[in-house]
Amino acid sequence: MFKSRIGIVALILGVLFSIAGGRLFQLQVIRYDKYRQLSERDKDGGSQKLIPASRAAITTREGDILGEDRPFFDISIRVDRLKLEGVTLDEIKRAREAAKSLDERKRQAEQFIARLKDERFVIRLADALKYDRIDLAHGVFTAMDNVARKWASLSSTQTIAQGVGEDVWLQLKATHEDGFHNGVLLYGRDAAKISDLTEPPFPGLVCTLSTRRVYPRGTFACSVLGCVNDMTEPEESQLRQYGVLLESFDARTKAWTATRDKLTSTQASTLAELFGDDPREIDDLGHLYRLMMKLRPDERETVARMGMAEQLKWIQRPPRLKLNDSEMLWLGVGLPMSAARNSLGNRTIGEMGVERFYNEQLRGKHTLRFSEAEYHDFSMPVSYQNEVEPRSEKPLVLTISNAWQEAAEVALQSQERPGGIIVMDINDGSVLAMASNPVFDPNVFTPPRTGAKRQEQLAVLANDPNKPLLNRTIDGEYALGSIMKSIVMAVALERGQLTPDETFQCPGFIKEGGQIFHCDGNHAHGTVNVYKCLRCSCNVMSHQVGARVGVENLGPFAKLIFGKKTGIDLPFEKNGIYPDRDYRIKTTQQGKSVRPWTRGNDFQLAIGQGEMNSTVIQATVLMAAMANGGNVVTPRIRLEAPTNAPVSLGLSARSLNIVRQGLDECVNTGTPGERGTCYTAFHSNGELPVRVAGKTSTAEHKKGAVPHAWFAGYFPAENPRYAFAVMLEEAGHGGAVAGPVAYKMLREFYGTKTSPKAQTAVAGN
Amino acid sequence: MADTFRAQPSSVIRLPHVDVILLISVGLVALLSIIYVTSAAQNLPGGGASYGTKQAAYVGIGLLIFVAIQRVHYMTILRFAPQLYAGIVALLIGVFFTRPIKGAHCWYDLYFFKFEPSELAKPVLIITLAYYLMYRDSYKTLKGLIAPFVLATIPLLLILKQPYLGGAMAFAPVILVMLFVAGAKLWHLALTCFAGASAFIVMFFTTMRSFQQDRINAWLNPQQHQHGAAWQQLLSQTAIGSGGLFGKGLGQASQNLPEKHTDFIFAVVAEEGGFITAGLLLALVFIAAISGLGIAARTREPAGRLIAVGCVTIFCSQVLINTCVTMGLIPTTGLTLPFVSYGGSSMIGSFILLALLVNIGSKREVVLAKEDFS
Repeated sequence: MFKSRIGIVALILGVLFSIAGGRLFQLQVIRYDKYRQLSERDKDGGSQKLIPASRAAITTREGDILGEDRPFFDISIRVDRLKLEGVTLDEIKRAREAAKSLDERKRQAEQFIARLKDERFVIRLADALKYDRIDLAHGVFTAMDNVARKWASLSSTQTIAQGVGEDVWLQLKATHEDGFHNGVLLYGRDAAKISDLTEPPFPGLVCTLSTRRVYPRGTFACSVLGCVNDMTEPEESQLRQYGVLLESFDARTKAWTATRDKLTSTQASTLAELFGDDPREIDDLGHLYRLMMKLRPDERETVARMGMAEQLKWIQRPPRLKLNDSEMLWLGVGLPMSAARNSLGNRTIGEMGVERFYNEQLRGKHTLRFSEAEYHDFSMPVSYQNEVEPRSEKPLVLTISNAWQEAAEVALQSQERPGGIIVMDINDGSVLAMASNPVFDPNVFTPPRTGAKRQEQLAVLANDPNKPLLNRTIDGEYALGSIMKSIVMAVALERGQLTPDETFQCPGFIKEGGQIFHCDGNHAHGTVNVYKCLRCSCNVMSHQVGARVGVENLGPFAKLIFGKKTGIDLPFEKNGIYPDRDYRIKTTQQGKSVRPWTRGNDFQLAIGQGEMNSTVIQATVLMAAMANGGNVVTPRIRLEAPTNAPVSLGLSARSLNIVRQGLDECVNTGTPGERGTCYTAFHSNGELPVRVAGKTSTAEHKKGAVPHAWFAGYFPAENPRYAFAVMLEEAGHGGAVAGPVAYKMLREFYGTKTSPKAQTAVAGN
Repeated sequence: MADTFRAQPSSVIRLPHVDVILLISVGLVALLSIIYVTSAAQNLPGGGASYGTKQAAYVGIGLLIFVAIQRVHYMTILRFAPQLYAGIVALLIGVFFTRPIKGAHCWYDLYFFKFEPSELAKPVLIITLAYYLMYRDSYKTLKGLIAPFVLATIPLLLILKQPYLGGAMAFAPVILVMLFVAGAKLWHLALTCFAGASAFIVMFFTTMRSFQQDRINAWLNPQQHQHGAAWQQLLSQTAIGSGGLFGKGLGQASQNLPEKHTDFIFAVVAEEGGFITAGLLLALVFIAAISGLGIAARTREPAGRLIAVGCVTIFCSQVLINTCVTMGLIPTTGLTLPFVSYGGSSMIGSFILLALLVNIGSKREVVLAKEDFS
């Protein structure tokens, strides 16, 4: 019994070992070919591939596409299948190693490109594609160089020409990739038989598809949209250093091992407390990254003191590049590093405008793709399958309204001078139109920025003295001029330093501190009250009222708008200047005494000149506050952006009504001699169906220069809904130049009373 | 003390009856281990050579311990079974008060060496069971089975709690086989198996750590599995399959397989050495197991038999579980391949088991018990 039982155990073991051996035989002998292929493909980085998500579209609030990714026909090469006559990969590798400086490497690159230019491959391909030979040679060289420096694997496909014609692309695809693949399918990997197949005209060529950012409406809303670019090399290498790519992964593993070995046991135990894991046990960088990420700032300081300062730097994110989930996964364990061997995938990054501000939302989630064979063979877990389709985010909907933006652009572009227009909802701060003149075509910036024609276009934009890339509505600071009077008057009324009945005498000028301050054109306004002051823009009265209030008392009101960013969701917004004591102290050099504030300075501030500076969006916010009962709203350009609760200026309805009356008269009082500064602009070319209120401004900013022309206001005057501001750089008188632009914009939108335009889209809401 | 048990007249046989086949096959396995650990660790920090050297050193230490154990009669060791058992339970409890490494309470950090009490628990448990079972026949009743199971369950639960599912799983068959060989009734054992399986299922839904559940879920239901646990097996399967009949050659493994020098070393052997080497490895293990069973069959002393059977079973169950994991036949458990995986505790633990086995084989004990257990 005893022995027979041992016999039974031996038998069972025999059966179990046979099963294990059988399985081994099945895997290694019966299914060898399949696994061999899978493993080859993995070596190529072919079985898992990073598929970049296309960048999300940008639309107007009505849903019209302003920018989107569209398919793009590319030509790529595989360096291992390339058959060149002269240049070899080894040569490039050797040259790279021999090069001592960056300059030398550049020189080498030029030499190689010059040689590649005369390769039969390049000459014939350039002919077929109608592509520039040097560009093509540059692409081939970059691909080979990437392999030489191990940024790409030998068998990876690398793009050398983008956006070729669809016909040529299809033709090439038929004779290259598919033909070759069919050969492989027929004959397996038998090299001799494959070479029997007709050699494709361009060995090594692969036809690939990519996406490209396209702005279908050209210059429309360009300053809002901004543009995209490829990551620059420093940015990309920053990402590589972050451990995303294998090359640096090895280097970091070595560095970490060295650091780890140097840790003393006390340091190690302190670190273990913080990490919850013994640092000397950590072999895996992904694990280390995750542990370090969890630390609080104060804990990070401790860790840095424990000799891990270098490692902490690894987890500091590059400033402009936040990694999304799938990129973070690359750092982790359990995922194939071959995925990381592929280059970064979608390298597009927002450079300006909403493309930059909402870069993270627009980028979407990249994903890893597995070969089809793997699904069938292994019943791949569903989570991988789900992620096969890269997830793009929903379109980014802007608050920009088609009709308003069109109207604003038409009006603004009718002027020669550079300038900007904003139309904004006074209650929620959503910007309906934002235009800057001159315009640029964002398509010009979409990579690739190579090729002679493209370079020329870019040079034109870069060298234009009118700086078309500047978004003048938020990125330019200008003297505000008389628009400032509206808030000065409102504050004076609120503080009881001015009553609506009080009158001033205006002889056209006023002396102060040995200086003479003029009204516009030295025009004497005679007896002036607050209404007439706003209507006719009397400087003499404003100076005196402004001096009564004073810069520091005006500050609590004015500084809610001026001297700070409005918080619009666009990059590069400027602060502007409100020149109160704080500002002067801040800008005074160390050791020098702060400039004294004189009554004359108050005079200047009251009419928005001197050191005072403002952006167009700030002027719009001011007018919105006048119109909506004294609330400072936060402007926004994304429809779904959270609305911040408006900040109240603390002005009573009584004071605001008086100012609003003045602003209304400025546009709508036409009595001869009492005429508002903007009456002519709005009432000589056909009446608008909407009543507008506003304030002109002619802002002197430099002695002898033509002043900036402004007109800012709101409409409908009786029941305000929208605020706007128009600014034209060095264009002349506000009422004569900026007023007509605003009129033109409103006429574009509403039509005139005699020929009204049907505008229901926004006005009806 | 030991002499009281040494009933064999000293003049009869001076040379120990060493099972040469067993030693040769295990020696070859250890040699393969050093070669393939060096190859598998080549991309790890420190380089493959350092891992290979360390592994060779562990083999050396293992051999020293092996020789030391041969100096003692196994019956002497057996006498201390209660003390050893108490000691290992204390060590297993004590490990929970140490700092966790990789999130588990599996190791004592002795600075120069990481000591894994669960490796030591294997021989101690086998000895304890043998000690308990040797002169009894209470296990022939269902009630009598309770005591040995409780004895075994205490350390197993502690190991499970570490958490080290693989270690606990590999040991479960040992209890069954030892009781079976001792002569327990088959239907009793079947009943216990059923109870154990039920307990496992209950535990699965109640106490098991989420990552353990994930691994099992991944294996049972890859289509709905949400985590990457199946990924590792996928990689190792591809690696093994792509090795083919003759392998890719040393250092040619293309897969980036996690834990490839420890738990997944078999995949490296199969990929680089091909079916020839991996098959040879399995065959060597099987030959060693059969010679081990031969020792058990030749030993008439009941405790020796049981220890020998226990040692063979734990060895085989570890090998089978580990290789089947790498070949995608069962879920990932995190179990080392004895004598092959990189690691001191595993290597030394394996050598202790081997030493016990050889010890029993070389000390032909005078029969102290009835001819048979039945």
